[in-house]
Amino acid sequence: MEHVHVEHVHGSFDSILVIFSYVVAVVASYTVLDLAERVTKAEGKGRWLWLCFGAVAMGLGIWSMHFVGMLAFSLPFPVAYDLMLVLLSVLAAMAASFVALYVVGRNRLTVGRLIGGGLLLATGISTMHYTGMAAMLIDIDYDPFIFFLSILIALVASVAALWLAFYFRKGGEQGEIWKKIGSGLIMGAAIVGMHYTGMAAAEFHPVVRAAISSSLVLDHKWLAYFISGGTLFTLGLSLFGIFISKRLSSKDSEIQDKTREIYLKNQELQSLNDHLEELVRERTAQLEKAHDEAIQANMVKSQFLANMSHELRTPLNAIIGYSEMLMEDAEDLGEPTFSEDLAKISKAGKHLLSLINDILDISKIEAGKMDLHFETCDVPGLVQDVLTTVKPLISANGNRLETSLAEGEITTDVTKLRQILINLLSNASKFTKEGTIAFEAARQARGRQDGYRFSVRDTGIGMTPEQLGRLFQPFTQADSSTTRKYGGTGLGLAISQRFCQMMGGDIRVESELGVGSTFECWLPIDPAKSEAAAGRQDAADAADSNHQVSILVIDDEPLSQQLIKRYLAKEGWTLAFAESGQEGLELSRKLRPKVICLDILMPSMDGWSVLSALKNDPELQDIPVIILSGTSDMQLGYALGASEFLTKPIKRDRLISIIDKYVPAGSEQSVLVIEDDAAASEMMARLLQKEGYAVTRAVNGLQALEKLAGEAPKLILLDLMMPEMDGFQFLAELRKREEWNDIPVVVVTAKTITQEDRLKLNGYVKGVIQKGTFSPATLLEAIQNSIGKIKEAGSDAHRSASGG
Amino acid sequence: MHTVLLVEDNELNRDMLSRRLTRKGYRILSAEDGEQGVEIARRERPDLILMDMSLPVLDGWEATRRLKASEETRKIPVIALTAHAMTGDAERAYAAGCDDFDTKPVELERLLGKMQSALSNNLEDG
Repeated sequence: MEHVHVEHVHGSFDSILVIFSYVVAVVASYTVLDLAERVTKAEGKGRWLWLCFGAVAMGLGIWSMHFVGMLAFSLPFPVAYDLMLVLLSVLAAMAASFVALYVVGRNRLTVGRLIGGGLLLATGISTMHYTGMAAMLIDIDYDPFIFFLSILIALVASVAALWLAFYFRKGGEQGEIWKKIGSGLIMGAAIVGMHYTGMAAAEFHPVVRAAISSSLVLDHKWLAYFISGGTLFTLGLSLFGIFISKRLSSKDSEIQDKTREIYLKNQELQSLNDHLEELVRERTAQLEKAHDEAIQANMVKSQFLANMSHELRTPLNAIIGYSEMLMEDAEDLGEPTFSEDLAKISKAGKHLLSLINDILDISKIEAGKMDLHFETCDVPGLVQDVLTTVKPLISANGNRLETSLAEGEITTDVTKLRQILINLLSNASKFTKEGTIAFEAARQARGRQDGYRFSVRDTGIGMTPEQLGRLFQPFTQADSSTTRKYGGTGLGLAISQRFCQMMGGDIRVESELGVGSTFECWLPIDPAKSEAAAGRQDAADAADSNHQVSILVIDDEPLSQQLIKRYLAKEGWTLAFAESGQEGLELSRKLRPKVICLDILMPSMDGWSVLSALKNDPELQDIPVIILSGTSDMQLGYALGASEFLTKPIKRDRLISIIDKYVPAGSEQSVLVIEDDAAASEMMARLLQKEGYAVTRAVNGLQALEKLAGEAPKLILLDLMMPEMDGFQFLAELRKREEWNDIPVVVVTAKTITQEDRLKLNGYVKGVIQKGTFSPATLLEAIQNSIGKIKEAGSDAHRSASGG
Repeated sequence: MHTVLLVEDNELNRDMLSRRLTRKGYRILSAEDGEQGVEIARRERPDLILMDMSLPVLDGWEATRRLKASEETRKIPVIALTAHAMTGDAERAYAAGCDDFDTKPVELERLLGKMQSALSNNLEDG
């Protein structure tokens, strides 16, 4: 074939359309990048849908860029297009886009995948481009060099675009939009670059092909605007769709996150639940271990005390023994000076011995290691024995001894009774100079118990009320100067009092400064017959007299019991004490206290066990439990149902304010009923308890004084005619003690009150109620009136009660 | 003259007590531990034994149990000497077979009284 005149035609570009084509490429690229992200986040079916959607959008974008680019190229003659090929080129663009999205949407990008994807993308774009060119119904020759250059550009641009897209997607949240726009611009430039290079490769021949349908000759310019506008609209729509879907999916993921969090929390709770029992078991085991260790440590301490006592006494034994031996020698040899000095050594040795004994005694009492050995002995014999021992002491200060002894026997720990009596007598002789010390042993019953009263009265220096208050506390003497002047550890009375209490009795003291002191030690004649021994006294009393107890304290430590008693007794609450977990449970059932204070570390049954036993008993589970513990395992305490948790050492104010929450002090007003007639006493007690008063009962004046020593009631109901100590005597005793002077007394009697009686009672009692004439209402009214004057009648319950 | 066996591990106490008792007219034999005490008691048949309780080799309780278990030495009265601070010592001493019990440091007059009564009781029994 002969090429006669080969006309080379180079077209010109419409510059606006060229820019337009670039804008379309950039928007398409940006859409792809946005889509890539969405594709990554989507899973399963959604992922494929997003992939296809993205491929269509991007394909359309690239294609329209290409087509607009083609249209921007105007030849000096009209060009028609083959519709089928145009559609094919669109498909090629879409396939290429699909590949690109697929590659970029992966979480990891390998070199192989990048190059493979780039190849496919480049092939797709090239195919699209040249198919689009082929659709032109015109002969085109291609410059092979530029043709390959365009393919190469397509390949490089594709790989670079994919890599950039992936890189920016991975780049993180910061400045994401700008990165996307940046990579969109570059990708757009790559696609456009490829296109126009491809265009540059083409040479067009204006040989008109045979069949040119005029209908296909379109106005290029307007077609270009139309296509690119439509494409931009489509892409904008895609971007908007992505934006909405993002918003939705962020909501979705928020919900998903929350759901996951809830699920995890649930899981955690479940496992906590599962482990709670195990935890409790574990803690119990730990506590048991700690408890065992504490017992072990206590045993070690006792062993140490025993050893120390032996070790200290052995050399002392020698000192005292040798000095006494030498004294005998000195006397035989007629050396009075030696004899005197040796006597001093011996005396000092004996003093040291007694100090060691005191310290050991009090340690043993506090460790609960002091045992009692009861035996029956003849009282005058025992007293004579004691008097022989102390006679030298008494006469040393020029004192005179008066004795009065009753016949009879007593069953008690004789060694300890001897120690008590020696202590009282030696104190009396220590603090009295040239005076009289009167010792009396007499039978005396207290309540239903028969016993002995051993009293030591001296005419010595006496004590102030403040000194009396500290008298029985270990390591305190009346004041510290006493120690310097009179010596001693200050333990003697504390030990004596504790011994006495252990044996079911007690020591009382009356003293006037400068006049003298009287110590009275009372012991039951046979402790086996007494229902109360040692610290159980309070609890037993409370239980027996139908006393309404507000607070039950379960604590094995005598010292903490005393402390709590001191803290709380003044507040007007009625207390009962249990020394062990078992006793605590028994008393809880018996007394139904309003609050239980529970120690944790106790031998044999610890506080945790007591607490769970209480909370598992339907009748007791409502009683609030306040844990007073040296441990700080608050969680376990609350888990087991404790209401409050206080860590030792306990602060007085805190304890009171907490107990006040459960037993308001105002609601608890105690009344002491002194009445020998059981039926009348019972009747009054019931009546009062029904009205919310705490009632203590005594059968005569003497027993009443004992009860008063424990705690002062808000009111006393007093019968006048009683055995042992009648109402008049009781009143006289009551007025002797200043702290009891404010307690109002209402006399309830069957006795006809004479003028003389009235004089005796005058000023001492708030009112007199005649037995037989009074109704419950008048009794309550009298009580309201009397108590109301002290308390600001804060309780409405009481006021309404007075109306009925 | 009565022969008294003093079983005591502390040298000072042993010396002191044996000298004081010698002065009061007793013949004193001494032993330093429980085993020696039992051996001497068997050999010498004293009229009375003063037995410290915390002893090396064989303690006072075990020594007393052995003495009281043997026909030859059963009748010899044993007075236990212990430090009074140790709870249950008296019970343990009586349980081991001691006839009487006194605490250390020794009060000579009191101890002499107990020795006298143990010796006279033993005479009556014998």
